[in-house]
Amino acid sequence: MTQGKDVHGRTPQIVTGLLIWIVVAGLIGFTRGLPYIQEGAPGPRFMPVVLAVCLGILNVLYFADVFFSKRAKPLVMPSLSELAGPAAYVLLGLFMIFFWERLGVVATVLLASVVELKFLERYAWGKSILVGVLISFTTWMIFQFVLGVPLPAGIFAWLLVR
Amino acid sequence: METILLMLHGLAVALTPINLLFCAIGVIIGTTVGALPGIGSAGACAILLPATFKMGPVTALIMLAGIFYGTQYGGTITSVLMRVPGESASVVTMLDGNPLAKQGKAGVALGIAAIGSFIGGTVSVIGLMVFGPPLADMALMLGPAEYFALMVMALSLVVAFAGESIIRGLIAACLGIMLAMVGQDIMTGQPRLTFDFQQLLDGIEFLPVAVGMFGLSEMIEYFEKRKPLEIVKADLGFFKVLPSFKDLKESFWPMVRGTILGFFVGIFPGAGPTISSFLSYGIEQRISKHPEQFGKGAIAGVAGPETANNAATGGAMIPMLSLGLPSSPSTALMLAALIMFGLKPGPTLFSEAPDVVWGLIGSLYVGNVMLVVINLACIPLIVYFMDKVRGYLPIIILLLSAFGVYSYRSSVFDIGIMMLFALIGYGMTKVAIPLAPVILGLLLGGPAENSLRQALVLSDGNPMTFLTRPIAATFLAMTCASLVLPVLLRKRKE
Repeated sequence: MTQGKDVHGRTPQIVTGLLIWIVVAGLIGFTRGLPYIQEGAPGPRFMPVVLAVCLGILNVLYFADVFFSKRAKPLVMPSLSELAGPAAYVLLGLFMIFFWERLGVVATVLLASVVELKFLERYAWGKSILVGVLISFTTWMIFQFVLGVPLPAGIFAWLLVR
Repeated sequence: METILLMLHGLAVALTPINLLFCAIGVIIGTTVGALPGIGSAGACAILLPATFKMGPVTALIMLAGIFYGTQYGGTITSVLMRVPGESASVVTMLDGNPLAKQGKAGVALGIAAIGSFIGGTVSVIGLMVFGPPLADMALMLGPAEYFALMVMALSLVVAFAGESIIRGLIAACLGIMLAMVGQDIMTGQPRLTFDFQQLLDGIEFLPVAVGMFGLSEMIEYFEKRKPLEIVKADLGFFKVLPSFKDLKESFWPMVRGTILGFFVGIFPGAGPTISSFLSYGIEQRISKHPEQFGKGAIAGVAGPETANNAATGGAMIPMLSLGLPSSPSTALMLAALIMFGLKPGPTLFSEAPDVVWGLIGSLYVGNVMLVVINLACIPLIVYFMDKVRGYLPIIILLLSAFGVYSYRSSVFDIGIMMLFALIGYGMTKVAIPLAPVILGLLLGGPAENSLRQALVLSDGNPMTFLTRPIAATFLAMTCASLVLPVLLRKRKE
């Protein structure tokens, strides 16, 4: 694994600043249809506009800090190879969201656990499957029966729902 | 006298078998989860909060308080044995705790930390009893203008303590307030920033944001760094963690100073356990006859900060219970729990839900006793468990987070929000924007906007109302001071 490198340039901060400008524009643009003052009192658009102004001023100060501050420390950003693990973990989360109601919780958790243990933690297939089965049924039992949370049974409905 | 009677009532509530059981479960889970590297107190509380939904508010809060206390101590275990602070408040414990462990005194370090936590926690609860109710009575006299100014001050203090850059902290707070604006407008009911998503009409829920930012984002970061953790092998039997008379004598005054310092620092929003532990360490080092021993295994370097960080947890409860103001992400989660149970946090809570408030205060005493007993007895078990479960941690955290968030209102959309904020939290950490102000901004944004608009309605739209009312003006002056003073002090130092 390669080490994270110090980014002495200001690209991450500039990107952050640009994202904040987008947020500021969004706050003003997406509340356009709402009244600023309603019946003599501040309306629903009042606070977003106040906030957009504050964020705008802060962003100017942020850029000033990034470009002119002597104290600015270089940010340690991960290299592309270091991002592989985090990306895989996030994809696993997205996988769970997509299949949560389609396959049901038990199947989704089983698949997610096996994939994580086998490919991210590098356990053997047998151990990954065994732990995956254990985790999926334990979580089902705890949340469905002990805590009474209604979980989607999905493809295992024939087995889990009476 | 009335306070003592209420306290006895609170103890009676806390000592019912069911509350006692959940307090113990909270302490054990908190200690264990706090001991797992990568999950701080706020992350642990966020992930475990949904597990309390099926309980009543009293039991739920008692369990959460147990988790809160437990995680404070759990972080100490990793600091001492692995040189990995389980959370930010345990960073200074690592400086002397780990060298002590390497000298074969891991048990003593952990034992002193447990006793210090017990003393700091217990004494701070007495402070909570003394200062909490009068503060709540005073807060009843505040109008919307004062409340708005108070919330702004709380946010500014959090920002001032949150990181090195006040600008970044303020940006984070603004982002949190922006999130609080999503949903139907409080006064007119018009949808705002919902982008036609039905699920956003009720606003962005606090829980998915908190779990994503504090629980999952840390796991994402774990995958980036992924270095194997080494546990210092230590003999941790029950008698090994009992400190000697000499150790106790050396720790006595650091514990006294840590208790006083921690309690008063904990009251200030944003300061909390982390700042108090750093301050305590600094003071102990400065007044020590052997400052050169600090960083090499000074027992005072463990006793003072550990006592201070637990005393701060009691102090942090004062603004939470009396004013409805969270002073840290963990207390924000407890506040969120109160709201989820239909209670209105703030000065009226003491009179409207005495069972909850005094039951919680009573449970803090019980929880502290449990903490010291369980920890002294179970450290070897917790270390063994930690060692075994490390490899499965990422998937367990992901699943607990997803199940927890889903169980709140059976919505997959909320799991999506959680993942989104996990990514945002990770990104913000990378560009050095602090996370705590976002969470507090999200929690305080709604009430702050409400108070601001009410104050402007009452004053016929005159913003000078915030400056002409003495209490509001004082709070705003303190806000300015909290933001400007650190900058001026830094300039002077340079």
